[in-house]
Amino acid sequence: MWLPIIGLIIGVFLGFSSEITVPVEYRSYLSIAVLAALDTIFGGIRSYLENVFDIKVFMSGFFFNTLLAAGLAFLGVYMGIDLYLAAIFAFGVRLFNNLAVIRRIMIGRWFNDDTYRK
Amino acid sequence: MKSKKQIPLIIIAISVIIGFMLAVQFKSYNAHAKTDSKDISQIRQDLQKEMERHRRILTDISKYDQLLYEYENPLNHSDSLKVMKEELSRIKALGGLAEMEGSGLIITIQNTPVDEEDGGYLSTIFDDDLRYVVNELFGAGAHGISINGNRVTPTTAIRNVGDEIQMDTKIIRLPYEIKVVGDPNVLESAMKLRGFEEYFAIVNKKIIMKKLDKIVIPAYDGKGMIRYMKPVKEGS
Repeated sequence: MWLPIIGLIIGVFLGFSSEITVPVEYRSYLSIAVLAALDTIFGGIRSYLENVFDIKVFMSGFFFNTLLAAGLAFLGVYMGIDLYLAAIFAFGVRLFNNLAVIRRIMIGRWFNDDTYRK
Repeated sequence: MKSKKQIPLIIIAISVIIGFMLAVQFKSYNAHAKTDSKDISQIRQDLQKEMERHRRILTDISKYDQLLYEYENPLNHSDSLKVMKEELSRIKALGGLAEMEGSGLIITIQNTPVDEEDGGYLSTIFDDDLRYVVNELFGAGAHGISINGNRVTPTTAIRNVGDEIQMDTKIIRLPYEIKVVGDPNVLESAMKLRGFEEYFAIVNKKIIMKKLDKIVIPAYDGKGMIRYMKPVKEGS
């Protein structure tokens, strides 16, 4: 449960201490990839809490979602459609869904009350 | 199937990647936003501040220069005599009264072979042209210049007298060999930047530049350079 958070902190620390910056034109891709990655990590926490966590699904989800999101944004630029909105929308909704489920599970565990679980 | 032990490692690795992406994104966005959000008045204020700082640093420099000067000129009598002599020789060299030696550039201006009918008016160099070259060279940080062995001093005149160019009262003729002591690279680029090569090409002259590590330029050989000038006595 705490592993992802520790990892996040390490990653943020590394990111801030490194001198890497992303060129302006690629920034939208990275932002959408970050969103997808965040979604993946919350999905992972949720599945872990629901005891259906599978490392293969988690890993493939991470890479696939990230690449797909960036790819959609890339495609959108060339088609003249703001396709990245689709990714933002989908991942945003899923993010909140996952968070809601995590919250319910945590509250249920805290009060030892199973009615909070779906 | 992966072993149970690897799973935490994978999770950590992936979250490290995510955190890294997040931080990079955050940082590059902020870096950009900072430059974007400044409007002209802020930039002006910043400029003002930097100029203030610049001025402060300049006063610092002059202060330390003064200090350095005091260190180099100890009040001790025998030392101060030496310092004064050194200073005198330095000033003599700069003013053209002593030989000067150092790295520099030799610029040769010579005629390009040309058909006779093209010659005439267009193919002569005037005093203006030479003065222009000398001026640019001094502007590029030359310490000393001689043309065909005649040292250019602060009071040297380069002017047309009849069809000839005279330096002070000596006639100089093609090819002109201009020896310059200074930073050879800077001098050469100054010449190129000003387009002298093209400029002289129009009047059928060719400029050859040669960078040398050691150039000796002679002292000014004229007499009576200063005739009507006397040092002002202090307090008079």
